[in-house]
Amino acid sequence: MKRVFVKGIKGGTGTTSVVANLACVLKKSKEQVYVIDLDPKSDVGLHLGLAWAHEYGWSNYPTFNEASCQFHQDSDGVIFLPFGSNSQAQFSSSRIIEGCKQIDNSDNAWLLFDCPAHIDVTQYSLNEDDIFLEVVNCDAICHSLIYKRLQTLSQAAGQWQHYFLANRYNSASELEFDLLQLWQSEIPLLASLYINKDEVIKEATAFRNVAINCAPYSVANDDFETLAGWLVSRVNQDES
Amino acid sequence: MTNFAVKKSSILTDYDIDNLYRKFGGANQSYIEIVNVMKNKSTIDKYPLLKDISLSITDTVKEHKINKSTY
Repeated sequence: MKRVFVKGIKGGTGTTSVVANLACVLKKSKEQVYVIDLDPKSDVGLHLGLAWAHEYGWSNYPTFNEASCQFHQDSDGVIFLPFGSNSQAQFSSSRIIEGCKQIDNSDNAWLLFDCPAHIDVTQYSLNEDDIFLEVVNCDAICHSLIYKRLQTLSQAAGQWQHYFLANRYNSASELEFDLLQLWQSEIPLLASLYINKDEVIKEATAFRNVAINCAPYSVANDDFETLAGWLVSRVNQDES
Repeated sequence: MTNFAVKKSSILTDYDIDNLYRKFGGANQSYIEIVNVMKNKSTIDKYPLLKDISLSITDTVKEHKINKSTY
């Protein structure tokens, strides 16, 4: 099973959209995909067809086994577990991550975690096979946060694959264009691809769906397919 | 009707690439990365926050507080 943790370097970078769209693209590629919502905002389900009024998730149960009843499957076959409505979760994210190890041991299974922006990556027990995607936007604040993150990463004890992923990139913006060029040459750990700003992503969300279903020929879908392929290459590189 | 605007780009030949390898050090890389250093510098100089960060990073590296090679 391949684990991918996705977190915004700050709130509002579009992390949940990335998780949902990536999950569906991977599923269309015949992979088995599980999405676990670790964010108290509990909005991954909104991208995957879950009713807004649905309140329950793993946070409303005292154990992982009991919380398992809250696994849902969307129309594409992505299996997801909402966070739920209890912001003071009865058991910790670490225990849900640990519990997820028993879900599926097959090689083609992907476990995507939608992580809250405020979490410190070192709070998760990551291993060298895990991929941690930190979603950034091309702006000055993210530029600042990236450098602060690089400082903390250089002192982190654990080993995992950590990447910064530029999301909502607007090539028409002079600042964003210049910043991305700068990052591509200066920032270590920058993923060698980016997700373009595309209205399709917002529109798909409004339809409680993802880009691949609403606009399969969109730039956004191309980008998420590229992201999926790139992640496969990261995993295979790790395995080789 | 046949005078369409055609964008011509420079295509590097194998000879060009070998020359670049020779000029910038060995042929043991699988790719060449071309960076517009002056452009990056002008981007940093243009925005005060980026400049502030750049200066702080430079000072920190000088003081050996972070080792960039450990990433």
